[in-house]
Amino acid sequence: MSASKAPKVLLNLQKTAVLLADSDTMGQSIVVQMLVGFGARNIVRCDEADDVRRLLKNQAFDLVIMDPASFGAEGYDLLTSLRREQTSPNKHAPVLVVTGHTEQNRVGQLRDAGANFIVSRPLSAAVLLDRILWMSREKRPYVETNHYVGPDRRWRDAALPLGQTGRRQKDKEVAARIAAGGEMNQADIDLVMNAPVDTAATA
Amino acid sequence: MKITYVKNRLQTALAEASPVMAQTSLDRAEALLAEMGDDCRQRLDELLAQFPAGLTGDADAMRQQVRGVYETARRMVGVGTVAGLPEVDVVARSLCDAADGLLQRDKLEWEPIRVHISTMTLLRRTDLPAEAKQQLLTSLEALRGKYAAPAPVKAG
Repeated sequence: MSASKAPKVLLNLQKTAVLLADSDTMGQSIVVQMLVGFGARNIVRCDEADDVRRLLKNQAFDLVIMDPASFGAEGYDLLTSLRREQTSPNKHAPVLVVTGHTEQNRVGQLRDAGANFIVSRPLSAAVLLDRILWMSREKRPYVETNHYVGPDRRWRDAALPLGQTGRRQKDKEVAARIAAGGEMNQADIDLVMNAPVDTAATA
Repeated sequence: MKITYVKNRLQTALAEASPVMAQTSLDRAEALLAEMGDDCRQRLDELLAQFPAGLTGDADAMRQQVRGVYETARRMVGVGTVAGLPEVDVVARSLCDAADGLLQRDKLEWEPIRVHISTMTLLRRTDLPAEAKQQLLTSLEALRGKYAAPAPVKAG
């Protein structure tokens, strides 16, 4: 069962300021349809890297959805520089990267760019909704080192969103129950929806 | 290392909005996506028409053409599913893998690209039986495996 189908889960993006950065207009339009369905009214669409950079410096967003690959090599720098820009109103904004394909020699660059989450196209409305819900409940701190700036990647008890293949035993147990057609119990829902941050791991 | 705890502004924005069941939001989004089917099929046709008929010129020119194939295929991924042709997305991703692999190894071969484009053109037909679609995808898997760039290996 996806998080969106869990009872009493709410989602309305009516008050959420969204930046959608994608140089491909059809890719943009597909995501816009989903966001409008989720109630979003304040969506800034941007298909030029320079405009994305300018907007990120000057306007605060509650959610940034970006396809860095669509802007070529410069796209990966957009996200990295966003996280390193000390005065940016979006330095700690939740960023969801949506990608059709990532070149093998850019996988590491994308991984280290500081996104909160990366999803692959084709993107269904259910997956986008689940990821937005998941990001809204995130409690990870942001870390800043010489080599990485972004959400802390050293976290333990926070389960992955459903549909993602986890490597932990707990992930596998939840996945196995769902695969077997079993309903999620409250503990599973808590695991997905209220992922606790392991503060000890961030010290 | 500097650690900063920040308020989750997405959570705040969601909390300020009037409550709507997630399932209702999802249903609305899927209904809006369904309205895009024709536009996406048209977009797929435009992108299919952008593929070259072959690789020509010197190595630099051919490299540019393979790069162009990669970019076109990357733009296709995701459009096929909304167009009601999810198999096209599978082939487009496979073509991305193959073209990326060709560029990484600097092997400027047309044949793997040609096979992908032909497969996509066939899958664009809406009257193709499901078994035929599956056969096409299965046969393509071996080709993708042969040409895709290997995943980067972690040091140590």
